[in-house]
Formats: sequence, structure tokens, C-alpha cells
Amino acid sequence: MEHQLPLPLFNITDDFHIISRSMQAEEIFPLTENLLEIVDQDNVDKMKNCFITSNKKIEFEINLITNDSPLELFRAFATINGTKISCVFVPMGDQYDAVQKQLGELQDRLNDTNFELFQKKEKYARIVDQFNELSGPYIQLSEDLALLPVFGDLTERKILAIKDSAFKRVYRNQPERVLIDFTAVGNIEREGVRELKDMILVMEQMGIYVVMIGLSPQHAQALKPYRNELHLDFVHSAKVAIQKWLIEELR
Amino acid sequence: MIIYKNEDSFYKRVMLLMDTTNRAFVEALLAGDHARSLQIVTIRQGNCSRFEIYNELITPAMYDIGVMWQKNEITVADEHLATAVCDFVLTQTEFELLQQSASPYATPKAMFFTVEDEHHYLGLKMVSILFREKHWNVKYYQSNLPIDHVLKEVERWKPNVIGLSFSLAYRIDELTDYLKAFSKLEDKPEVLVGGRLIKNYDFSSIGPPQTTFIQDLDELQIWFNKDKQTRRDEFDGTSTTSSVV
Repeated sequence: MEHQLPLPLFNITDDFHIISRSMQAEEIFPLTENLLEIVDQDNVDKMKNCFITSNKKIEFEINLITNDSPLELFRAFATINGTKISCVFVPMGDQYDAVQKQLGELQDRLNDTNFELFQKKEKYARIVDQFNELSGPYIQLSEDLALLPVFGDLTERKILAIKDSAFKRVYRNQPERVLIDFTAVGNIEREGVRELKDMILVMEQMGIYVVMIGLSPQHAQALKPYRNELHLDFVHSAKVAIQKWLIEELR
Repeated sequence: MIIYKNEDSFYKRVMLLMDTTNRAFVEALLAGDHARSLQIVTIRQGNCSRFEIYNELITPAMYDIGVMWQKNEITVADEHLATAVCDFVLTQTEFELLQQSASPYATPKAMFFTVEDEHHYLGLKMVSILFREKHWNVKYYQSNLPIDHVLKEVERWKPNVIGLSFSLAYRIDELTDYLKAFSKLEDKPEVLVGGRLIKNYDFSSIGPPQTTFIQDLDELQIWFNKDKQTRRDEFDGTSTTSSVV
């Protein structure tokens, strides 16, 4: 009966000596005297350790050497009765291969999608930087007067993007006064103000007077803590500033 | 939003999220938890180099998972899932390097490949990323490449270093075939062989002279240091440099 079993079955002693085997076992595995001889050498310790137990029934995975392959994965089911052990091996290879292939494909897709997202994020960051640079154009109004209108919310990132080109242009043109126009500024972030303060200090050290124009009450409130530190002129609007310095200068 | 019935369970949850130990990483890999695994690596990236993360977190974690299979605590399916999640995490650690990839002609070049039916590829992938980090021009093939395909690509691309990994004991003869084929190449590339077998067997007799067997990432670091020294000597030794008297 056991011999006819449609799965490989081995009856062994507790030192793995083979007493009998099923027909399937004869067909699938090399005909060895000891079961350990068909166990992959890296798995021999696992095989031995699995049988060091007080349980009567055990179940484990093991790599075996078959007639067709030097390494094939099996699920083993064993019953232990004193020194006699019966062990059935169910091949697992094909099942895992299919799942592993699918898993690999999903993984590749996930990696690709993630990389695409990363690239999109980088692209977006570059666009934001470009946008920020364009949100603070430096305009030379006359030999002595320049205008720096700021558009949108005042953020640290925006000032960082603006100040680089502003410093270069200021250094090249050496105006006496720079008007920073806040008319088109929305919200002000604290980090943005700090960065603005640094930009203004650098301009002052370059010997340039900085005039803030077009401040709303909220803007004034946000800039108040830095008022004493910065030697700033404040003018109500661009109209007044242009009247005061540009038209006067041209006369 | 999760509302915790008492503060204890809230703190337990917070502690769990803050747990970036190797054990937590192993658990996340086995649970197939991509987000948590990546989070642990990202937190570690705050104060660890890529090498340290590979050597002290990822390698020990995958080693522990292998031991758990040996102890019959997990199945091969669990191992495969953990490998896939780990692969995902490794790919994330490579993204910023891929952004600054060298041109296909930049040198020095290193080519890495896994041999046919070899599923233990994470170690080789880490090595390839570390080469990329050191500004090598890297090609990494994770598909099943037959030896003649590998040789054709080597002859065409002419890498300075070829890296491969072996972990299956019954295929040692094949490794010898690969090494013999590389020894016949005109450009004599340096061959690096890694994989868990290196620790257990003495391969010194089978490799051609330009072959180095790398047991682990620490040995790779030693190789990098030697290579840096050699390249510096090459650079200093050219006639246009001031060190030549």
C-alpha cells in the first residue's frame, strides 16, 4: 500500500537510515542508503534539528537532490514513532516559481513607478525654483535706482532663489538705492522674513540703501521685530518712491 | 484617526514607530511592509552612511531571515517576500545616485551580474550601488545571463571590474568556467567574486591572478581602499603630474 503512494515516502530510522521507500521516491530521488545523502549539504543541519523534538508530527521545508535537479524545494511531513520515522516529501518548486515571478514583476513595476514619481518630484522642484526666481525680477530704473518687486508669498525658498541673481545685478550696476516692492506679496513666512533680513543686510554692507515700499499692515507687523536691526527706509507706495528719487534725480 | 483607549497603548504604538532596531527591520521585511522598512532605513540614513546601513542593518537582517528558515520558523515564501521588500528598499537608496549617472563611456567601469538561476542577488546589488556611490560607471544585470551573453557584453563594454556572486554549492564548477573565460579576456579586467560560499570554501586555487574573493562588505571596503591607492599611484605616475621628479 505504502509502495503505491502517489508521493515520495521514506520509512527511516532515527539516524536517517532508509528502511523502505515508495515507488515515487524510487523514481524521483537517487537510490541512497541514508536519507541525508539526498539532502542539500546546506540543509543537513536543518534536517537533523527538525527531528530533535518531542512532537510526534513535524512539518518543514527542505532542499533535496533529485534525479532531475541538484536542488529542489520540498515540504516534508513526518510522523515519529519511537525510533521509526515516516517522511513524505511534497514538491514545492513550481508553486513558488510562479509566485516569485509575479512578485518580481510587481516589484519591478513598483520600482519604476517610484522612480518616475521621484523624477516628477525633481522636475516639480526645478519648476518651483524657476518660478521663485521669476517672482523677484531686478529692474534697473535709473543709474542710481533699482526696483525689486516681489510676487506671491514670501518664503525662505523664494528669497533664496531671488537673492542670488539680485546680488549679482546689484554688484554689477551699483545703484544707490534699491526699492523692494511688497505690493504683490501675499502671506509672509517667518523663515522668509529671516532670509529677507539677511538679503537686506548684505545689500547694506555693499553700501546700498534699501527702501521698502507697498507694505500692508500685515507685512509691517511681520517685519516689525527687525525694524531696529535694519536701517530701512519705508515709503508708502511705488508712486511716492518714484516721485521722490527717480523724478528728482532726473531733474 | 486611531483613538487609543488608554495612554499605555498610545505610547506602545509610538515606541513601535520609533523602533528602528535590526529586529524591527526584520519584522517589517517579513510582514511585507514596504513603508515601514523604508522608514527605518530613512531614519537610519540621518546619521549613517550607505555602507553602514548595508553592513549593519540590511545584511544582518537578511542573514537573520536565512537563519529563521534554517530553524523552521519561516517558509521560503516568507523569505522571498522579505527579499522583494529588501530589494525595493535598496532601490530607494540608489535613487539619488541614479540622478547623477555617468555617461556610458565614463571610466572606471564596473559590471555586475547574477548567474543563471541565482536568486541571492541582494549582496551583489548592494556592492554595485556602493561602486556607483564611489563614482564608478556601473552596469548591473539582475536577469539570468548565460555565460556567452556575459562575455559578449564584457568584450563590447570593456569594464575594468567584473563582479559576480555565487551562493549555490553544487554550482562551483560553473564558477570555475566563468573565471577561466574571464582569464582569457584581452583587457584583463579585475574579477570580484562574492556570495555566502566564499566564507565556507577555499577558492584561492581556482581563480586567475586578477581575481579577488570578497567575503563581506568589510572586505569590499578594504578592496576600495587598495584600489584608491592604486589609482592614485597611476595618476601620480603620469608625466603631467608634479609628483614625478
